[in-house]
Amino acid sequence: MLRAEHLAFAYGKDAQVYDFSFEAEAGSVTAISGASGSGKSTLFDLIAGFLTPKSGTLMLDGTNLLPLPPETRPLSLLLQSDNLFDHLSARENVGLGLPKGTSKAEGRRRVEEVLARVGLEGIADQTAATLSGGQKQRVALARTLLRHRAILLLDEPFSALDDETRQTIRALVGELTRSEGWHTILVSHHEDDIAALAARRYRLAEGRLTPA
Amino acid sequence: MRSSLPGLGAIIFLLAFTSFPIVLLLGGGPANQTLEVAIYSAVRLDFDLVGAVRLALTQITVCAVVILLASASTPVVSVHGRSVAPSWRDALPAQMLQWLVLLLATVGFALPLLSVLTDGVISGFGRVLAQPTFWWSLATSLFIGSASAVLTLLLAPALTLGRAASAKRPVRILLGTPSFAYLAVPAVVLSLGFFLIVRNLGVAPAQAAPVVVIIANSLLALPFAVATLGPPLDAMVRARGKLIRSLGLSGWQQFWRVEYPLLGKDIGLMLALAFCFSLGDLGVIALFGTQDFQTLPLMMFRALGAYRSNDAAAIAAILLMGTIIAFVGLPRLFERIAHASR
Repeated sequence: MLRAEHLAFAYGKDAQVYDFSFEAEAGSVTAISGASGSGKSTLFDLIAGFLTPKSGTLMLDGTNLLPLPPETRPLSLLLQSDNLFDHLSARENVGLGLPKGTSKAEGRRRVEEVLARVGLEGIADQTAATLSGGQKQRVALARTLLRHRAILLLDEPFSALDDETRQTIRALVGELTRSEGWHTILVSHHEDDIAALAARRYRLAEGRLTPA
Repeated sequence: MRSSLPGLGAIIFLLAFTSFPIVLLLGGGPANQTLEVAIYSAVRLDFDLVGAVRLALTQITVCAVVILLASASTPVVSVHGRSVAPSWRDALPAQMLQWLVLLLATVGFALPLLSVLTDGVISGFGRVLAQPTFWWSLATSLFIGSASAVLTLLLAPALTLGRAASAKRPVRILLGTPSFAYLAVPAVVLSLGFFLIVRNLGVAPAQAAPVVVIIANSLLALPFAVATLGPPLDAMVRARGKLIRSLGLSGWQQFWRVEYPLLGKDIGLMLALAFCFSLGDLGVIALFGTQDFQTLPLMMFRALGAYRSNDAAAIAAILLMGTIIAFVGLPRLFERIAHASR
């Protein structure tokens, strides 16, 4: 269980004070929705470690995540765009998720394996710049599989996709969440995405999360 | 535009106010000296270090006041990324005026360079190329230029990335200071500072010369290097900073796999700037140069002082050609290497 209790943050002395509390179970998607400017990105950055809360806790199965910097937190990110480095191939982008010390042969095998798992056989050597939006999100998900992190943070990951691709990628996220046991947190204001994926939902308003 | 004018005016004023090589070469006696030339004369000719320090402090104070005044006016809004040309047409008189200004500026810039090339070619390179001191000075110039450029390449991205990655304002100010501070510190003043440090440490200036010249040239090129590399690095951090951090990319891996392929041309341009800046430096080498340690600009200056203007013209032409080759060739070379590494 991923549990946040009274994660408090404010951007300045007289700014809005955020106070976040939520729970997310393994193997399911927890959605956080809210209007633009309600603090979704702030919550995202707090969970990821890009912002430091003034107080509160963020526990994963009893382990406090707050002292950990972003690179060592057990999470992967999937953003709306810029999830890949366009000048690298799909293989090289996915390979960035391999643990240090992995041999070349083993790395190659594992990259091919995860690309096949997300339905992208045969495109490993294509440059990321030549991939479609949907393919790019799949490559990013493949990299996430390699990293074996417990939490998947999604920040409007389907916004730039057309309807058909959106449904496909959504289904893939749902399937991988269940099979890999991820604590997936979906930050989005798209009702369709939330309705299709979320087992639990919170609404963000006036700096607070309310179960919906 | 209005918000940019004070900063722009300050930079132009400072460049003219701290002009050293032009005034030194054209001469004209004490009545036509600038503070920089007076500092140089105090150290090299009169060995009046106290006087030199007094002049240097005056120089720094004036520069600091100008910068503070420019900074106190409306802040400059910086726009990162490619600029877009306005799509409206100017009226004919405005267009004609713009062309006239461009023509005058181009003539004013190109004429001295053309006369350097012409005089140098007419004078003939044979006499200069036959002098052993030329080859030694050329080797020194290339070594100093390369080392300065490499040092600048290490400093500029480190400062820019460190500043972009830090959320703490005092840290950001500290890391940003070298990027603009050396605009206000003229070359001769910086050299004087190093000269005094070296002297106080009991080291002969001649012995410290190579190290000091490399460091000083690199520091003086830093504002321009950061201005070249800063915006594309900033844009990269904005677009992919979170991704880079969450993937745990850092150090050499981050530079070689992510930054260098995307910034090859910009890195080449930055290196070319720093290299050419050092290649043409006279302000720093003037205080530390000796008979055994001289660069091409110093050799040119000495040739002029000895009324060997033909030699000076030939050396100037060689310097100019070298600068153009470096400035055009280095960015292309690094862009090619970056493409090959992708």
